[in-house]
Amino acid sequence: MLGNIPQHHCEPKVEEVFGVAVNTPQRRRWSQRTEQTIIGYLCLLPTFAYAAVFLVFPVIFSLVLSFRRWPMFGPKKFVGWENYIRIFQDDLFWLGLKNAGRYTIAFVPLSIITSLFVALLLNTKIRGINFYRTGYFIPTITSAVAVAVVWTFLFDTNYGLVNDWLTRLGFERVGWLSDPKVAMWSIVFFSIWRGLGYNVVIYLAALQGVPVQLYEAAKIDGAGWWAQFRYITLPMVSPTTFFMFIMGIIGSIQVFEQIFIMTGGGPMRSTYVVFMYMYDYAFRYNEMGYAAAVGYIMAVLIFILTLINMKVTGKSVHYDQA
Amino acid sequence: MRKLSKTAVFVLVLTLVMGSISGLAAAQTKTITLYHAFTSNTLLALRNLINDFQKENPNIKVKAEYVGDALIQKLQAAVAAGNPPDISWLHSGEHAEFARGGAIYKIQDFMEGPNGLTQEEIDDFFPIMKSYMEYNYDGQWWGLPVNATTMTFVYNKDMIRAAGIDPDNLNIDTWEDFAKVTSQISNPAKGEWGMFIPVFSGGMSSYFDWFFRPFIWAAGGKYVNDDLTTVAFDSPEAKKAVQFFYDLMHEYQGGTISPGAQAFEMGKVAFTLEGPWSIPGFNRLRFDWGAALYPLGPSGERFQPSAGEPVVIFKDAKNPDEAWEFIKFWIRPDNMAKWAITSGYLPTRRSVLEDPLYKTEVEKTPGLEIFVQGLEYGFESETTPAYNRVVDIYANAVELIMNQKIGIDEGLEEAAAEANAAIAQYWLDNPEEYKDLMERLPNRNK
Repeated sequence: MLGNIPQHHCEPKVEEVFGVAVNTPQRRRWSQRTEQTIIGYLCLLPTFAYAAVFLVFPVIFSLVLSFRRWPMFGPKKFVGWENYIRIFQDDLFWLGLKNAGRYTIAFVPLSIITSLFVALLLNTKIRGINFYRTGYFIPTITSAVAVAVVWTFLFDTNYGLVNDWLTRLGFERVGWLSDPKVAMWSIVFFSIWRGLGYNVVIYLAALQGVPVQLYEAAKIDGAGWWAQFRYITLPMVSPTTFFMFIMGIIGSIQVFEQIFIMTGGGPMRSTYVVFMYMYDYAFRYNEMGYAAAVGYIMAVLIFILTLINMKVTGKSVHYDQA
Repeated sequence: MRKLSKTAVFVLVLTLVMGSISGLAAAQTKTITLYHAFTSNTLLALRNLINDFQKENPNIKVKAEYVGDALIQKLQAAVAAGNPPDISWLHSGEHAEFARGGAIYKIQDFMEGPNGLTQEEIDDFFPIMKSYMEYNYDGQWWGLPVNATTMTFVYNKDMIRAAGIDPDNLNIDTWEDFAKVTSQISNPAKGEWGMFIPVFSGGMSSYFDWFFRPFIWAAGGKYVNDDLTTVAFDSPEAKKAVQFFYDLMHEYQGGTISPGAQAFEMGKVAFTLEGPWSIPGFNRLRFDWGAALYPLGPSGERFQPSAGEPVVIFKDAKNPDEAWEFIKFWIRPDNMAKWAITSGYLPTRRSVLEDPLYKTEVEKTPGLEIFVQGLEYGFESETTPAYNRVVDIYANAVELIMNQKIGIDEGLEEAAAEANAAIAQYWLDNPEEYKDLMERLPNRNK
């Protein structure tokens, strides 16, 4: 059936793709379409293999794991829902979830506001704009572990640069990473700083996609700076904001690296998030099955959160293009 | 012509004889493989050791392979494939798993064999070393310790002098004496403290456990009960250890739990806990330093943290006898002296201290002698089921107590309940290990 449809309108020929004729014997063994399909899949094969080994297999295997007791050494056995039941009964899991929630509630809005603000600044025509753009992007492409270590030094209560400046200005020292009331805020600050480059680039792209005519028309109608921002910029970048909101929540609930390096979950478990809990069970308590179950609970939770986001927040997003 | 042929025959015969001799020698040269994870100074020490060994034993070639962090995984794979090295170095306690799996020789059989060690030589090891070489409690040597390490107090003599105390006549024999001295040194207004109390939780809680557990023993307490099903850190004796540090911090104002990075090096705390690995770095200190043993506890006894790292011989080793020969060479006092000096580890045998080379080293390195003495007070740590879980729970409780978020009694009792539940779960999950341990327990120290 399909073979009868002229294809060169919708799909490039193999020759066009590869620049040379690929395997064109006198009598074709397969129809042209079959051949294209085979070559297409062959080209995809490495990626499929990668996805199968590093994505699909772990996803399925950890589901199997989550119903088992699976120590690094020693006997492994099927335990049904026991891992899940134990997790829900563990106060530490709920504490981890609560802390991840605290982080998310603080990080996501602050991160979006900061990046939009910086993107607006970088969208103006000032001298040396490329210097600033590069500057904001550097933290994002530097190893998270390296910058986290640097910030650990900066945040040191007694000898850190941050407190050094504060005391010079006449303020009290702050236990940035050693005071349980402050530590999570320091982590949030670090994460915003580190993620800024990436988010700003996305916002910049969105801002530059807003048609200039809209602003020109608004100016003629007498709209001021705020009105332009409120009624043109904000709605026009709302798909981006929505994207960052969803991705921000998904990322924040899984926050781990910076906490692992900077506070190790302390002081007094004030930054002990749910992924620290999962890490501890997997690599320190040697209970792989239990940790896999934590992972699955988190996957389901994130899925539900995202669905709610789509339904509730998605309504205020404008997808209309000018 | 005849003369020539005679010479030719002679040369021919000579060549044949030489050839067979060298062939014989080649056949007698055996190669032993050694896995390790040594770097920098320790690696240098290993190279020197192997050179010295081969001078004495030209027929045994030692091939050292750096395996690094993945040592255990590599060894497991090699054992499973039936192709392990002859010898491997291991971290403290890691041999138990290989012993349980039947992968290593009980080295005691070599020690008692024809080419073994005398009873005098065996008794020469610091007593604590033996307990690290046992496979749980069976009282037998499964590996031979080549490295020892400990932790003890180091102090800043200048800070102590500034507080009006003679640092060379310190009275820190008991807990109370120690608290008083730290109190006298502290000057919170200037950010100067008598002691850094390293209360770490989370990923560092095993470090906290290592230095802190001896204080519980010194108070007459235990960390885990003998039947290994419940913790004992909530007993009245064990509580005294926490009470001591609580008082030191809050009553005496003698210490802090968060002095900041490098506080000792920068002269902000007078006492801190260090291992021998820090000694080389102390050359750069801008003040005189000294070392002191842990004070005597309320029980009148002194205990120090300690550990011994073994080398083991694998069952599938190609040349187990030659492997033993090398280990025997390694632990010989003169060789161990050189090994310890270069690597920075402590020797595992007392007689190394009598070695002239090591004596010189002790004389020119302040504090080293105290570290070695500390090994005499090493004590066998209780096997702790669900180890990381339990020490996390305990460290978290102590952290809360030191920060005055919860009382000592309440904090430790809650932690004990949580730890006991974790242990119960652990034994439920690992019944075979429990059975195995309980069978060995009565054999202890036989």
